[in-house]
Amino acid sequence: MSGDLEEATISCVDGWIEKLFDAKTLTEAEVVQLCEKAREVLLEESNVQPVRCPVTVCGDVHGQFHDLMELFRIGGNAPDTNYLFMGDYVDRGYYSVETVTLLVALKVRYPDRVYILRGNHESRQITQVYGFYDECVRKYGNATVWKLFTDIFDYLPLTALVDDQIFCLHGGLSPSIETLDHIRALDRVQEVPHEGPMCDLLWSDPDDRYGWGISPRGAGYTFGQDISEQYNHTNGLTLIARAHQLVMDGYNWSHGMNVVTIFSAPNYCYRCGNQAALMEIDERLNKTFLQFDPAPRRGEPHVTRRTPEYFL
Amino acid sequence: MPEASLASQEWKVPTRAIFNASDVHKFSTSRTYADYLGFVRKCGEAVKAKGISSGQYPVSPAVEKIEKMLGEMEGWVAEYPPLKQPMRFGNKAFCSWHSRLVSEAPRMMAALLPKELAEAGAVRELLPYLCSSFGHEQRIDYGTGHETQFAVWLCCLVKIGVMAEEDLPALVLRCFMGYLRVMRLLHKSYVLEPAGSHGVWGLDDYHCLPFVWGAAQLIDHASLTPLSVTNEETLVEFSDDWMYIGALKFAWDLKSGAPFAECCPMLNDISALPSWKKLCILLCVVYSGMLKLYEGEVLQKLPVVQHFLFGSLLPATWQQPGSAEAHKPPPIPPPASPGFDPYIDAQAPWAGEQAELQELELPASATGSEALAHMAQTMRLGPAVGGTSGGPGAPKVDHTRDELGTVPEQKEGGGGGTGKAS
Repeated sequence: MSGDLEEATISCVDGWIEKLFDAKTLTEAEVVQLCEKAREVLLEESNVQPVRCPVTVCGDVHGQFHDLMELFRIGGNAPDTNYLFMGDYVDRGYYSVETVTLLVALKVRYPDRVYILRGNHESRQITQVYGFYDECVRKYGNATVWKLFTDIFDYLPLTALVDDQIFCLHGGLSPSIETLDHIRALDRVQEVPHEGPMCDLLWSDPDDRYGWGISPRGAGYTFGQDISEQYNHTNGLTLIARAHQLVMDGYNWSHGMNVVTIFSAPNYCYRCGNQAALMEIDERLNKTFLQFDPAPRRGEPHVTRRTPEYFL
Repeated sequence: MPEASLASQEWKVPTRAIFNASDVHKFSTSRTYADYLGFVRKCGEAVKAKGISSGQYPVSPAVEKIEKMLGEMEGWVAEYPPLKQPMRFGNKAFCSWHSRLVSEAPRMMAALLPKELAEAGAVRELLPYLCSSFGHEQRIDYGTGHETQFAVWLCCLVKIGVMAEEDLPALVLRCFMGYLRVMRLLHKSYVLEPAGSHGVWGLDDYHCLPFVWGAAQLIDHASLTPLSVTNEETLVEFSDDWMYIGALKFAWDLKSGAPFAECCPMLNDISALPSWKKLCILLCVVYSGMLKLYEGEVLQKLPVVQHFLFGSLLPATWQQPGSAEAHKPPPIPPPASPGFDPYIDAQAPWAGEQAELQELELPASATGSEALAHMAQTMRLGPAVGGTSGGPGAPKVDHTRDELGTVPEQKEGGGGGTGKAS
């Protein structure tokens, strides 16, 4: 894939990436171009995207741009380090626009070295509730950029498979899915549905209780250790790596080491006091967890005040 | 202001009555809604221009009892220190604190009520409100829905005459403040997960009412203006006396390390409003805005308000046979609102007809699809929990911005998934 990028495109995308690393947003016209290229790249990927080790696996980022910078300092720069992000780039944090633009740009520039999966927040409906929509309107004056990105979200792969052994996805398992081929057969290019296998992959959580359970989130399911063991056995997997839940130490083993949760937004929402983590998988599939704390702040954000609707 | 005679009151253990968007609409146009919102407004009126330590309001024995009770709850935290074992997030010692609450609350409630009311069943009706005010014992999370349960509990105490109209200032400045102290200690000790937080794009991760009533307090305040509250010295100097400033300071203390404009953009925007009370006219911009926000983000948000409990004091009037409300023609669904304030962290906005959490016992050998069928049968819903698959009154997707093309549509030329398997 990377070979397909023309030289002119490379220098153009490199320019964008440089700007983005400086915490600056792209222009609307640039986002249009970026999303066009991203669509072409993502369209080529599978619902169960094969990824080769070594690779560094990351969880939720939620618009915490400065902490993403810290993540790259800890984990190494792309493309020197290969990255697999498991979704939830936007919402809640102040810099969702900068965060998602950078990750999509890195994907376009290094398609074989950076992988970005879809999280439950990469959706039109959720982003209208949890901030990305508001942020786009605030930073661009209209919703065009929100529309461009949420259209691209439809193309993000749902899961990835590292060296046929480590299964990575945002949420968890689905009672409608027994094999990886079931996932491969899904038509993923759509808004995240309210139910069904595609929804479950992005919404489910592991649980201490055995079997399938009703999720308190109102979407997806909870699944027990018996389900994880069976799924890994059936599909010849050694591990399910997922994100989606806040974890105090940044990573959390569960289900007898059949499942690991990774969360990469330190001090989530500026108040949770949690560490963030990433999981390095080396050439021999050894796993190392690197934890990190919030990045030191640098200066005030570019602020435009806007009177909230209720106060007009 | 006890209503009519409580002697013939038929007490009722309160239960949920809001299950879908149409119920939210019925609720928002019901007498009970007007009744509760009226209580919130009256409380706001009652604390206008009153500082907590001003002594400008009476403190009745009932208020003192409630304060003492809340103080006792605060004390339990020391008995259940945070556990050191690894856990996903919220500290499990909170569950022990919460069990203590559930076991002690009946005694505390009985001591608070006149004997004849306690014996007649008022405790049974009021207890569930109190017990669900401090966060969810299993999920170890907390949000504005829990806060509302406590306000409803206070509202009921006024209704049955434990507190009177003249107690309203103390109800807010002493009882509700006492509750906030308990909550802040619980937050700090057990790190309750913010339920359904909007992150920086919401007013606050946990609370709403301290901002509503706190804004009312500041009307006509001589030296404080909305802008001055973002000043750190102001926060320190005024936080003990003014609820809004105290709530800001609590958020600010927890969110240290980032500029205010970045971690609290909404409060920062509000601080740009001209004054607490717009140029001497009765409308107070911040206070009235906060009231609207409380209605919009809490009382009319299905994922939050579905947990509202209805008993005999605050009945689900639209469900009563013979009531005028029950005979109204079916309402026109309210305009879809742009946001939801889920009770649960990142709850699906469409999750309305969510069944109570329950463990599903399946045969150990059940396959995924068998389990699915079993669950569908158990829940008498479609296969998904959200129950949107055509259940009666199933909430529809909130496509508030159709003009922007938000309606999920099948994209042509997709094919990203199928047939691309490696």
